Amino acid sequence: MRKSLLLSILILSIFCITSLVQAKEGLNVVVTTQDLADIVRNVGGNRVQVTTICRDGQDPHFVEVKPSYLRSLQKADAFIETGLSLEIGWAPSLLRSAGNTKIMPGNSNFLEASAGIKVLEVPTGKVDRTRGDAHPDGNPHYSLSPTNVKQMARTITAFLKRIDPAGAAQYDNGYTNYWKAIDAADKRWKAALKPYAGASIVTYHSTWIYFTNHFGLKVCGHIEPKPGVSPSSAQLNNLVANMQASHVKVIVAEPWFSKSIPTSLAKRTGCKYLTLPIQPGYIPGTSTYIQMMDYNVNSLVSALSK
Amino acid sequence: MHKFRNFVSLTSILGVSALLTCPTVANDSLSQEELEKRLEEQQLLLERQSQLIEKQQMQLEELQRKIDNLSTKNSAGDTVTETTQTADSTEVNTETNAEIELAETEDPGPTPPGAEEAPTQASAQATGQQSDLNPNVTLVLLGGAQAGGAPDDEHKNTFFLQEAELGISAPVDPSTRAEAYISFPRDESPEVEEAYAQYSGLGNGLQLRGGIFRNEIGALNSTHSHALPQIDRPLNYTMFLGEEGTHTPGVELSYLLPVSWYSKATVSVSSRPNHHHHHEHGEEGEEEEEEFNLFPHSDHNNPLWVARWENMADLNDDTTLNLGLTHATSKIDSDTLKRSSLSGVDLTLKWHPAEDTYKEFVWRSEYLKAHQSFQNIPDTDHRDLGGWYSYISYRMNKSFRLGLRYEEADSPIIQDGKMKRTSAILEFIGNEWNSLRLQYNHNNPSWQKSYDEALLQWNVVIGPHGAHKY
Repeated sequence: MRKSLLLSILILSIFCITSLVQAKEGLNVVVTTQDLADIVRNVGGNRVQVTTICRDGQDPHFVEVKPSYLRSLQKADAFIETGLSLEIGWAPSLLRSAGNTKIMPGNSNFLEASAGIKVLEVPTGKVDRTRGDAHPDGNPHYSLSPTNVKQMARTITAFLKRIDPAGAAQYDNGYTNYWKAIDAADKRWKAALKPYAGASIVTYHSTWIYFTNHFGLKVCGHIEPKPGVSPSSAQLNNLVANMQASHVKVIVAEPWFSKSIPTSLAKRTGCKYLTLPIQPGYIPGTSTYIQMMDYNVNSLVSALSK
Repeated sequence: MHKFRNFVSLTSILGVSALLTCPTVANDSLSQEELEKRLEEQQLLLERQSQLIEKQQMQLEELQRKIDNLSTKNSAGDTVTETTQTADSTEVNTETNAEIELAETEDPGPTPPGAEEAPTQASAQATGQQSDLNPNVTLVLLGGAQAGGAPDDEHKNTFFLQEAELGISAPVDPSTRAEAYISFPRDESPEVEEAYAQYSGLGNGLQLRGGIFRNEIGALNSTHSHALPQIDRPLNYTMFLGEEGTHTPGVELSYLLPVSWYSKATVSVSSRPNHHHHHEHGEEGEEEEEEFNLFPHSDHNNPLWVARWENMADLNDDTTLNLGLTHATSKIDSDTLKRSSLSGVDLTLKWHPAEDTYKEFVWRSEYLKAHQSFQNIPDTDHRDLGGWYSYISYRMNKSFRLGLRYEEADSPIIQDGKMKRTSAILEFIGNEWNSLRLQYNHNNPSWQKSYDEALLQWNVVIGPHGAHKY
């Protein structure tokens, strides 16, 4: 009994001392993915400090949650996630463990950035695991369309203005500038891809629908027969036949997927296999959204022009 | 053809309306600055309109192509039967429908939004279904098989259901959450493994938990069977705390310390485990062999105190080091036993490169020391038992994980007995909810001949995404 009493007193005193040392500087915003970080940085400028949980090059579906993230979450003023169940495997338990009530789902300083987005591929009917790891709320990779990024910036701006009204002018300014930058870049991207309107591509995972929809391309099929499910050789043969029928020239895969399947598929069909990032920072020289999209569009144009 | 005309008229209407919405003449009294601003706004508006027109032209071209396709098909297929023609046109219909569905988010424009536009949770993309209020239900099935084993092992060369675990969880209110896990273990009656409510409204990194929970003793006592790094629990746990570990009813306070690294302190006080191992079917009269537990049930209801302090630091982006310290103690006050306590230290190194979703390496070692102080025994007043394990686990890719473990522990039942065990594990991971483990144990007890055993475990989960423990 004496030992445990001593221990409690020790812990209590640590608590008292450390709660005095907590410093505060700027608005601490924790986001899950790099696209959100890019938006918050541009809209918030020096008024915000952004912490991104997903590390460069990490698949946002599967994030190994490190307890050290809890430290950032504990002192966070706001939390922003992509939503549509993208982070379902790790964000809820992370937020629960952090115990920072105001940034928990349902509370004022929590934001799901998908508000106002026209969501694609919302499954109809019953969603169970016979569909693989399907997202029951629709495809969450919406930031690959620049129009959606503008909408995300708008939602985030409104959110930041609500929780930090003193910074409204700066956020407004940041929003307009970001909108203009994205808009100008989008014109450039659209012009570059315009000659290839209607061209079909094959992707590994159903990640690129917002991108192809925005730029007038088509997805002829996926390497994964169902989300998260590896293809059988019969399914691959089927895909090869489809690709030849639709004159597919390009296979697109994210960096973390198996390289062997797309490589052999490219060999069999004479297609070009492109590893394209879906978040800024996945490959060197693409630390902003615009740089990443430049990279994606340029790679596609050079592959499609052959 | 209808659609074609619609598009043409829509485009022209939009064009005209764009012109109409332009304020015609600027007021002379406006400053140059304001005029410039207006000009800029108009230009942006114009740009948006032209974007819209461009997009519609693209859609128009696409439609035209489709119509051409259809007419070539129709003219070429004069000989095809009526039925295939209908099929063709349905196909086109569904395609156009799909395209309508693929409409894009509307461009929000450069004018900044008001703060009131920020979505509240109520207006977010909730499905608004009553079923969303149902708690999450998850069922874990651990099927098993064993070949070989100790001479007196009743599970030698058998198939069995190692455990079925039913998990139910949901938020109670914005700051409270409830979880319950009902376990159907092998050879035993069902029991409440955990059932607790967790309150996080205290803020400042404090969380309160009340109910029956697995005590935070060591690195693994709070881990459920299906989430263990190996099929069986390490010897230092099973020998000192029983086959399934300790879970007790009580309250627990945890505190995330505001320091630069991750540091969490947990203190709980609970009533001592009321032992389930008095087998219900023991009516035959024979005394069942009872499992040793450091903290057995007692008539005096002395509480069990558990304190754990967990620290984690990032060595670099991919590597973390975790140090945990545990102390658990309870007055026992039985005929011969005064007090029991357990102290432990555990160290875990984890490496997980960001660019590879699956690759992971874990090295964990843990030492537990059990201390019992006696009363009314003439020759001795206490005894100490020690046990440790060290394992490595390496996930090579999406499908395979390899593991090795070595451990030693003093037996609490056999005087000066010591058990040594070496294990190798191969895990095949189909996906997050379906995996198969094969484990080979070489057991070397000091009191009898060594023996080998092979274990197989099929781990299946149904239900929503469970919480991943870090």
